[in-house]
Amino acid sequence: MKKQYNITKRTVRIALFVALALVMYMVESLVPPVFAFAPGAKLGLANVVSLCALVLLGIVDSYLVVVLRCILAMFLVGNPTALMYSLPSSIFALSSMVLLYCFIFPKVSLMGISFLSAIVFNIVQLLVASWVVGNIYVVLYLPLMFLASAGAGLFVGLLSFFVIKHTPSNVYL
Amino acid sequence: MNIDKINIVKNSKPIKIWDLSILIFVVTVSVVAFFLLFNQKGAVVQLWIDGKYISDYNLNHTQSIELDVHLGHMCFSISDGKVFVVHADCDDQICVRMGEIDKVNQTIVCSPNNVILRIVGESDLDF
Repeated sequence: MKKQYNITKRTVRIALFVALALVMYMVESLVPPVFAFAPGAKLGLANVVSLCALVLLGIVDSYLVVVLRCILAMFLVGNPTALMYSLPSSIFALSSMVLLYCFIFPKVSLMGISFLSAIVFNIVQLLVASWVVGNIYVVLYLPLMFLASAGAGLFVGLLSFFVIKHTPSNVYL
Repeated sequence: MNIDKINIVKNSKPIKIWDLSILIFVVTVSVVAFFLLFNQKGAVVQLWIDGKYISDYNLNHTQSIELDVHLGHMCFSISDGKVFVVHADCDDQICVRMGEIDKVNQTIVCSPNNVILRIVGESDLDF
């Protein structure tokens, strides 16, 4: 297969995915929290875009999408501390997606990848939170966050599966 | 970007036996861990601000405590052995939504204000 590099196409595609992720992020902040039992747990709809970016755009571009999404979301919400939580956890979650997708993908499906990355996301986020508040007992919320990641990860994985399945090939070719 | 791999994704099933087994394993472990961690009724709630221990409050005394914190004001209440945050000046309100806690090791965290309420049992009192 011939690899065609068109920098304008690539930029536009990344911008499109970042915009989509931001819209998802804003829409998500409008709905009430789904997992009432887990403190601060969200559905993570923006991760649909991260996962689709990884599959459809490739590894480098998906990192760009995620980093830009985190930085722009900080400006939209106007809360610089949010970046401290979202950036490290998103990057670690995306890295786990990349590892799973590149090395053991046909064995685990998209739902499994999304679920495991949600778990990585929550571990990193709780570690950051316990470092910020200076108390390691915050980590004891991990079981609750894992239950929330199971629900959110499966939902996000299923959604990304359908998005990728029904995206026409001229979007990414 | 790898076209062959995208086609594999398009033609694969959304969930496979490996995913299901990992999922069931993690959910089981979390549920068991949850019940092992939080199964003992607490006696005292500790207040930590900025990572420093401030004071503790007996859970049997019904009371309401007002605090001055980074972003303004915070108020938590103790009744029937349960603790909950009534009001907090912060933008995420996660601490208010956490609701009531009454088991040892449970915490209410307000990360914007750097406040932690942590429940401990009788045996931890000499600490």
